[in-house]
Amino acid sequence: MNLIHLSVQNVLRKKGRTFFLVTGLALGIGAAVALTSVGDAMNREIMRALDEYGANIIVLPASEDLPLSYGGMTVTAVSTGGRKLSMDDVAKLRSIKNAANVSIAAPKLLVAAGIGKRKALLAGVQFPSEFRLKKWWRIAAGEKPAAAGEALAGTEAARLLGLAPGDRVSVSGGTLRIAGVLAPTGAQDDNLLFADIEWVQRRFQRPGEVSLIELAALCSGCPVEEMAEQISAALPGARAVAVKETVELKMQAMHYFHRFSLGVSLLLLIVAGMILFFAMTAAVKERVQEIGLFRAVGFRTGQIALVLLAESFFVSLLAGAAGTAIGMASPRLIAPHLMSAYHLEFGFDPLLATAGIILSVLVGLAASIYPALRASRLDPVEALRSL
Amino acid sequence: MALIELRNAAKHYHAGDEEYPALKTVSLKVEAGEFVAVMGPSGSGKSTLLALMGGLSRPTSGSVLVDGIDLGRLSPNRLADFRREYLGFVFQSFYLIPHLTALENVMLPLVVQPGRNGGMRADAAEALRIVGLDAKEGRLPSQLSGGEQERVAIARAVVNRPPLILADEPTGNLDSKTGERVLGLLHGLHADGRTIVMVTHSRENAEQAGRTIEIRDGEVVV
Repeated sequence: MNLIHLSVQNVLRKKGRTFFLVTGLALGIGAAVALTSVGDAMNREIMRALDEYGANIIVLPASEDLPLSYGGMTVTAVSTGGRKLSMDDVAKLRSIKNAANVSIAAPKLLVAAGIGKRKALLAGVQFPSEFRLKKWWRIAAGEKPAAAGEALAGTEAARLLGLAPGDRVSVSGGTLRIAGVLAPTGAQDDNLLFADIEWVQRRFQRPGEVSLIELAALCSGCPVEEMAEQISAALPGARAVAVKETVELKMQAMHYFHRFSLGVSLLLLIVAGMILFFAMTAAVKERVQEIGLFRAVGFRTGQIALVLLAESFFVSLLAGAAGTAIGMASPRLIAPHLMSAYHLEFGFDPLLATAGIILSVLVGLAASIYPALRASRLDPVEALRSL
Repeated sequence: MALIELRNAAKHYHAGDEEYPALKTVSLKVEAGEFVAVMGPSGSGKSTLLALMGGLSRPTSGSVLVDGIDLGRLSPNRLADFRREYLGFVFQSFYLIPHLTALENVMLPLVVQPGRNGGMRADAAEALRIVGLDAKEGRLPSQLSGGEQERVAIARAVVNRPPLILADEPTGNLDSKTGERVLGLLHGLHADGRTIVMVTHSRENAEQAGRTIEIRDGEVVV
C-alpha cells in the first residue's frame, strides 16, 4: 500500500461522491469539446462556402495595353502585342503547388460587342464555373443558358438594350439568343452580356484567348498571397492579384467565430472548474477527521496534499475521458437533427481528444490545489476534535 | 532523563475574541517504561495535556520535551516525523478510515515511513495478531464491533513499534468486558517495555496504572 493506493481506494469506495465529481466535470469538458468540435466543423463549412463565394484571386496579363475597367480592376482588352492569357493557362493552374486549393477557375474573354446601334461589353464565360463563383446570381426572367448560342443579360444591359428572354441579337456575324435576365447585383455584372466563352472566341476570332481568370481559392492553410505568387511563377507574363479585401473579410469571419466558440468553451470550463472546486472543498471538509488522523500518525503536509491531489487527478482523468467521449459523440448524434441545413462533417480528432483529457486533469488539479493545501495544514487537534 | 517532560507548559485557546486557558502552567515528568493514568473531570484539560505530549498541539508558553526533543521548536513536518517515529495514538473514537480494511488501517503509519519498501502487510498482520484480530484483517470498520475497532486502533498505534503510547479514553465507548480486554492489551504493551500515558475518567482504570496524575481546571493537583 502507498499514498496513491489510498487515493485510488478513496475514489473507488466512495462511489457516490466519485460519480458526482466525475459527472460534473465530464459535463463541462463534454460541452467544451462538443462546442469546439461543432465550431471547427462549422468553421470548415463556412470557410468552404465563403471560399467559393466570389473570386479572391484575379489572374491578368502583365500588360500596359489600353484598359477596360472591370469592377475597378485593369484588364487588357485590345491586343497590341505582349502576352495574352489563354485557355492553356487555365489548365496550367492545376500545376501549381497549391493546386488543390483552387476551388473554382472562371476564365473570361471581354470584348466590346455591337448590339443594334449600341456597344456593350460582352463577357465570354464558362457558365457552370461562373454560376458556382457568383452564388449571388439570380435569374430574374427566363432561364439559365443551356446551349452555346445562348446568353444572359445583366439587368441594366437588358433595360438599355431592350432585351428580354427569347430575344435574338446579331453579334459579330452570329446570333445570340437571350436565355435569361439576371436580377440586379448592384455591381458591374448588371451592365454586361454573358455568353459561352468558346462561342465568343469563335465569333471574335480569338481562339483560346482569355482576358482574365477569376479564381476562388480555399484560404485555409495557405495564404492567398502565396498562391498568387505561385500562379505568377507558373504563368510567365501573367500577373496574379490577391483580392485582399475579400480574403481579409473571410479570415475575420472565421476569426470571430473561432473566438466566440473558444470564449464559450472557456466559460464552460470555468464553470466546471468551479463546480469541482466547491465539490473538492466540501469533500475536504467532510474528511477533516481523516486528515487529522493522517497528521496524527505522521503524514507530512506534502503527503496529505499528494493524497488529495492524486484523488483529484484520477477523478479528472475519468471525467476527461468520459467528457471527451461525450463531447465527440454528441455532435454526430445531434447535428443531423438540429443543424441539417449545414453539411457538417465530424471526424475523430486525436488532438482534440488529448486536449480534452489534459484540460480536464489541469482543471481538476487547479480546482483542488487550494483545498488540498488547506487540508494539509489543518490543525490535527481541531481536525480530530477529541483531543 | 525523563522520556516526557513538561516545563511550565500552558495551552490557551481562542474563541472569537475570548481566550480561555485549557491548561494552566503545568510541570511534570514521565519516565521511560512508566504506565501513567491522567485523571480528571470533563473539561479539566486531560486531553489537552495528551495533545501537548503528542505534539498534536503546541504549548502557548513553556516547553514540552520528549526524549530530549523540544516539540515547540519543530516544524509541522518534523513534528509529523516525530509522531511517526515516537508515538502511537489510541483515540476514544477509534478514528479508523471507513473505506480501508482493518489491515489497511493498521498499515497507515507504515505507508509514510521513509525507506520502507516491503513488509508492511506482514508487520500490520502481526500487529493485528497481537490484538487478536488476525482473522478479520479484511473487514471494513463498519463490519467490526466497537471493541474490535478499538483493538484495530491499538494495532495501528503499535505497528511502527513506538516507544510511547498515548491513549485517550481507550475504553470510553466500550462495555466493561471489552474495556477490560483493551486495558489488558495496554498492559501487555507496557510489559513489552513501552511507556503508556492513558487519559481516563474511570478511577477503576486509573488504579491499574503505575501512577496517576490528577488534573482539575487545567492544573495538576496530584
